[in-house]
Formats: sequence, C-alpha cells, structure tokens
Amino acid sequence: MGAISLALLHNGRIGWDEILVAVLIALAVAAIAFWQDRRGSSKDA
Amino acid sequence: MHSLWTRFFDWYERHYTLNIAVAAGLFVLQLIHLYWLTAHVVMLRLIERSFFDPNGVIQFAILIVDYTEIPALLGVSLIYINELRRHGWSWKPVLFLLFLNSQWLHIFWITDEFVVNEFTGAGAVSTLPVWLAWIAILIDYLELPVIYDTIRKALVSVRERRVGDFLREELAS
Repeated sequence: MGAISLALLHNGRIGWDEILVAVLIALAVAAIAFWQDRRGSSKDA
Repeated sequence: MHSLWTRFFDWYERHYTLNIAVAAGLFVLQLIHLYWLTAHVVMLRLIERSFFDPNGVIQFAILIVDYTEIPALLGVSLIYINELRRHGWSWKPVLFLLFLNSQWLHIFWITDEFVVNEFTGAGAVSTLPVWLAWIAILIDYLELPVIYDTIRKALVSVRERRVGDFLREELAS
C-alpha cells in the first residue's frame, strides 16, 4: 500500500514541491548549456 | 514576445542534444510508472494478482519518477513544438503532442487515485464511471510511442553531434 501511495503523488493537484523539482531541472539544464557555451567560446578563442 | 520565442528556440536548437537527452532521460523514467500500472493495477483487476512488490529502492525510484513526470512532459512537448516550428505542419508531432498533453487530464482529473479506487472496489467514493478508469490507463500507455520516438531522436542527435565534433577536430588539426 505504501508503494501505491508513493505512486499517487499526482492526486488531482500539483504541489509546490513538484514545481520546485521542475524549476531545479530547468536551472540545471540552463547551467550545463551555459557551461557548454563558455567552453565553446574559449575553444574558438 | 515574438523575439523571446525566437531567442528561446535559438538557444534550444543550439543545445538541442542536451535538451533532447535530458527530456528523453526523464521520459524513460516514466516506464517505471507504466510498469507499476501494468504489473499492479491492471493485473490486479484482470487476474486478481499483483506482480509488483516494491521495497526500499524501488519505492524511492517511484517517488523520483512521479516528481519528474511534469518536467518530462514539458521537456518532450518542446521537442515536438520545435519540430512543428522548424518543419511546419505534420501529423506526427501534432499527434504526439496530443498523446503527451492528454496526460494533464490524467494528472488533474481521472487520476491514479481514482483508477486504483475503482479497481480495488473503493469506487463508491467517486461519481465517475469505471470505464473512465480504463481511459486513464489508455492515456498513460499513449506515452509509449512518444517515449520510443524521443529515445530514437536523442540517439540520432548524440550520434550526429559526435560525428560533428570529430569532423571539427579533424579539420582543425
């Protein structure tokens, strides 16, 4: 039953914790992209 | 607004491999949820036996998967929005966007909680019909063709990037 309750996180609403996870993932992708841009421009120089 | 849209997708395309790899990775995690749905919910309903007995690590994995569903839906939607933007109207990206975004219906209305309640006999608490539970399950399975296509696109993109990097380095030396 514990497993079911874990799998039922989306019980008709989205909590702040889920929005936070989405924002953190987006920030992580943006940070990697920024690092890739920096690395690309230093290679070109 | 138009400029923001263009700038965002310029950035998106410049980091296409990263964006598609992250989206595909998050989307693949959803297979764990689909496994739970099949092995526990559907099997319990059809043959009254569950093939899903998670313990510590698996329970934790399910929690992670649930937390990553929304970022996965958004990330993969961007892939197909970008495809429509670049190549114009085509049925496949439109259909996949419909498959993907029908999940919101499942997240907000015909939820997992409703499906489990209906299938375990606790459905009296809901005014929704049982067939809607099967619709919710069908909506979840609509992710499968999109997961397959996203993985394929991610692999192609990684391979092309590797070839690109190799050629650039060879030409530079």
